[in-house]
Amino acid sequence: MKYENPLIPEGINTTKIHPLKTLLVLMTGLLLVLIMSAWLLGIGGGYLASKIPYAQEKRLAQAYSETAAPRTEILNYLQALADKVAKAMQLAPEMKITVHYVAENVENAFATIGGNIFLYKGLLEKLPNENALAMLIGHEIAHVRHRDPIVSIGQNAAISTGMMLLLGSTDTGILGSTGLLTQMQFSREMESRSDKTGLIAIERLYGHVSGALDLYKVLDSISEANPLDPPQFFSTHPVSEMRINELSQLIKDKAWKEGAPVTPFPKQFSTWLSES
Amino acid sequence: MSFQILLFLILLVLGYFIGTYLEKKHYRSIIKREAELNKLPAVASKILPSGSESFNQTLVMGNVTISVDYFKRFLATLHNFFGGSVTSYETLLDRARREALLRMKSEAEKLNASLIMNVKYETASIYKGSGSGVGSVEVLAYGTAMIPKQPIV
Repeated sequence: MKYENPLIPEGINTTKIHPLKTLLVLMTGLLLVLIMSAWLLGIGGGYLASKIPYAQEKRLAQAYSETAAPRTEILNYLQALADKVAKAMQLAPEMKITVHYVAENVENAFATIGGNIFLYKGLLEKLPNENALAMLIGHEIAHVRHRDPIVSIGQNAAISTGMMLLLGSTDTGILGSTGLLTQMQFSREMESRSDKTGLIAIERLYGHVSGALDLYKVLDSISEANPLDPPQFFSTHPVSEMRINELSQLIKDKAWKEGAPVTPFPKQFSTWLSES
Repeated sequence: MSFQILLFLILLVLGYFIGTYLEKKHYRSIIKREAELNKLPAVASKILPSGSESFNQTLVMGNVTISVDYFKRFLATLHNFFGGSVTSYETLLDRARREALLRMKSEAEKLNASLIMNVKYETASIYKGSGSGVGSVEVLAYGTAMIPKQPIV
């Protein structure tokens, strides 16, 4: 009997597809799955968070009550203006706005949970008149009214929890880190909606809208100066122009007055800023 | 976090280039030795040929353990997520089987065997329980070497 082993051709038992191509296909698939689940988690988490009662939200925000600054004149002025704007916006009585003035040269302002609004000296110095400041405060109060901060936290918490379960990463806190509370991201829709709600309140407060859009000119020039690090207010770049156009359209549609004289800041305003 | 991602990418790139280089080198060696040892047939048949009284029979075996590189392991993790054939492990098992057979054959050649019968494979993964640690495969090939009896002068 004759035995023999034929020479077997190469590549019968191995794949002919290049491993890098396989990697590309699988990674694309995985990314799509991750993006889809993050999106769904974001929607779900935001929806659930919007159902949290406001009293509960205030309890979560208790960390800010400890940092309450002494009643300086600038803070009194800002708080009084915020109360006027809140009244014009017909804010629910349990939604009390607390203004925090931060004496740092950061061109920023943001709203967070529990009706806390943070205004930075750096931004206030650049504003030309009270109407622009009222518009800034109005926009931030509108975030509070729309419950945007808690919704944003709910979205982030759902996404980070979901990703933690999926990817097994352990370095994501849910609500513990204050970084999450202050660095929240609002979507473009949230920003646009707050722009409009804010402007409506300003019109109701002053009877005209002149000076309100000055705020956007200031922010635009700031973000042009630091293209890499735009102010948080304009973090949903590059739609600043679109947002201004939307507001101009709203003013046109409602035929609101624009030419009326603007309200200047109180005489001591610049002294207050430089002293703080 | 960014350090971990960087480390992961470095390991992935290193694993890919070093793994590909070693695999190509191994395949060159396998193909060369297979051609050399082709004169010694290894068959799976259990039935002894006629005239087997003139042969001594002895057990021969070849054993090999091959590890998979970081890149292939990562690719296999992705395959495990989506399903389908785990193509990144195919060359690993192909190389291990052929290398084990070659080692068995070279042992038989040393014994002046003219044929290996009843060839079988055993495969074992030697990383069970260690989670995502090492990924190695062991292949054992064994068979019965037929060694012609020396004529008595």
